[in-house]
Formats: sequence, C-alpha cells, structure tokens
Amino acid sequence: MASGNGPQDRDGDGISRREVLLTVGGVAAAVAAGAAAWGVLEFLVSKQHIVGGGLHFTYLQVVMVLGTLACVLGVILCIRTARTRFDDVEAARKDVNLGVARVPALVFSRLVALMALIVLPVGAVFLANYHTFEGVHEVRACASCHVMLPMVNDMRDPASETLAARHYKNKWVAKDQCYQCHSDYGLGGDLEAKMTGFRHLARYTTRTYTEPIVGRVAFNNQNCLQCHEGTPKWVAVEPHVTAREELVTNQMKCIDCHGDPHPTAAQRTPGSSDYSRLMERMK
Amino acid sequence: MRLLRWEALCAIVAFALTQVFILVPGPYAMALFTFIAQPLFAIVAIGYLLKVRADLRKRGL
Repeated sequence: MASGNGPQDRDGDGISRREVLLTVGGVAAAVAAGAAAWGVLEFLVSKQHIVGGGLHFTYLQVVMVLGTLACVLGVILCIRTARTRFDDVEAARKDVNLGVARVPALVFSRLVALMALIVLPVGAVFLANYHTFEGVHEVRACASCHVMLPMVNDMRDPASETLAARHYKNKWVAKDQCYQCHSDYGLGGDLEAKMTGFRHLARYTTRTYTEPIVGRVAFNNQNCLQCHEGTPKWVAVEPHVTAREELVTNQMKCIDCHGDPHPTAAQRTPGSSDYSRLMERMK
Repeated sequence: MRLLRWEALCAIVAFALTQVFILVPGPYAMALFTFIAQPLFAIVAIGYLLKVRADLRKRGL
C-alpha cells in the first residue's frame, strides 16, 4: 500500500475525512479514558482491594504507577513529535506497519502527536490533580509545610491538652484528623476554599508569609457540629441546647468554651520558649 | 502542519514537573505542578489545536 486511503475520501492535499474523524475520535477517547481512569481511581480509593496473592493497592500506589506510565510515555512520544517534520512525512507517502495493520506514516505521526500533546497530558493532569486533592486529606500532607508543624506536633503530643490533641489521643477522629475538622478549608473544600488553598500554596512556596500565621477565614462551627450535634453527650449539656441557634449560625464559637484548638500565636512565634519544640520535624 | 517542536518541548518540561510531583509530593513540587506544569499543558494544547485548525483551513476542511 503506497499512499493508503482510497481516492473517494481524500482531497487534493492528501488529508482524508477518515483522518479528521480519527482525530475527533481520539479527542473523545481521551476524555472518555480520563473519566474512566477517574472512576477506577475512585473505586480503588474507596477501599483497599486484594489482588491475586494479596497485593494491597492504595490510591497513592495506583497514582504513582499510572502517573509514571503516562509521564514517561508522554516524554518519549513528545521527543518523537519534536523530531517529526510533517511535511517530509507527507511527501514520503510511506506506511507504518503496526503489526495488526498498516497505516500511512502521516496518520501515524499525527496520532502520536495527538497522544503526546493532548491524550497523555489530560491523563497526567487528571492523575496529578487526583493526587493533590486526595493527598491533602492526610496529616502528613499538612505537616509537609513548615508553618503547619506546630499544629501537627502539638496534636500528636500526648501531654498537650489543646482541643486537637485531645481529639487525637482519644481517637475521637480515627484518621485524616486535620481534614476532618477543616473539611471546609483548603484544597479539600469547596471552590472558594480550594482557591484559598492555592493562594496559601503560592504564599508558602514564595515565602511571602510571616510567622506566626494567622487564619483569615473564620472557623465554621459546622465542622464540630457535624459529629457532635444531637449526640446524647452533646444534648445532655444544657447550654448546647439553649445556644444551638447561635452555634449553628456561628454567632457563638465552640472554642469560646472548649479552649484553644492549637498552640497559641505566642507559642508559635519564633523565639518563644515553645517554638523549637513545636517545630521539630515529624518522625 | 510542519512542526510541533516548541509544543513538544513545553510538554516534556510539563511531564517532568508532573512526574516529580507524583513521585515526591510536597509543597514545592505541588506548586511547580499547579502553577507551571498545568498552564504549560494548557498552552501546549492551545498551540496544537491552533496548528491543527490552521492545517484544516489550509486544506479547505
């Protein structure tokens, strides 16, 4: 097969309807593949799955393997695309043998370019964003920022009596403790919260912040009430019931009565007696 | 369509930054991915689609 496609669907310059349809189909396949990958990841993350002899996959491992595949393949195909002169390929009018079929070299080069510049980037961005929004649920992710160390170290300190530490040592929150009480904030929250999270990320990495950091966003009582409201222990405390409206509408703060959730700003100020203890790297 | 060289080179940089973030997650890697790699991928996609569009128009499709 010299130039491949029949004359019935090829115009004078050598591009065929089939090639156009193939391109449109490729884009549709990329979107479908991204959505499918997302669905598979959601399924895998929802619980650990045992495969064959007892391999346990976590979302992190799945993202690492799929992400590495997408990125490495993407780089290889990009190098090939960067070295391709499409006019020369078109003029040569050769075929490429794919084993199961022979396709015109120009079609093949265009498909490689589509994979390298659209399909694989979409997959890599999906996976990396999934990595971002799942990863920020973990305490380890919060602690990876220097300014968060005082909060995390204090929370894990058995001798501390702050609200966060009491929740942690009594296992009132089983996992992802930071996220459970701050689910309306940062990269795990709604769109506005995500934008705030991105702003914090930008300020942290450009070091345009001062210690101690101060939260601009008011803490929403709903983060407490989503677990505590209506429980027998909560209802048994009369002020909870009488002040319920004020609590629900954030006119009164839970921490007004229940103490500091984290070390105070004075403790987190560089030079204070507690600062070096609170800033120790997590083991 | 003659060349997709700068698009491919930008995509290689973006893939490399994405790979770093996936393997070694942290605030700096996340910032590189969020603020550099993602926009680069978007620029690559726009550049590629513009060249495909120009190619199709040149061929009267």
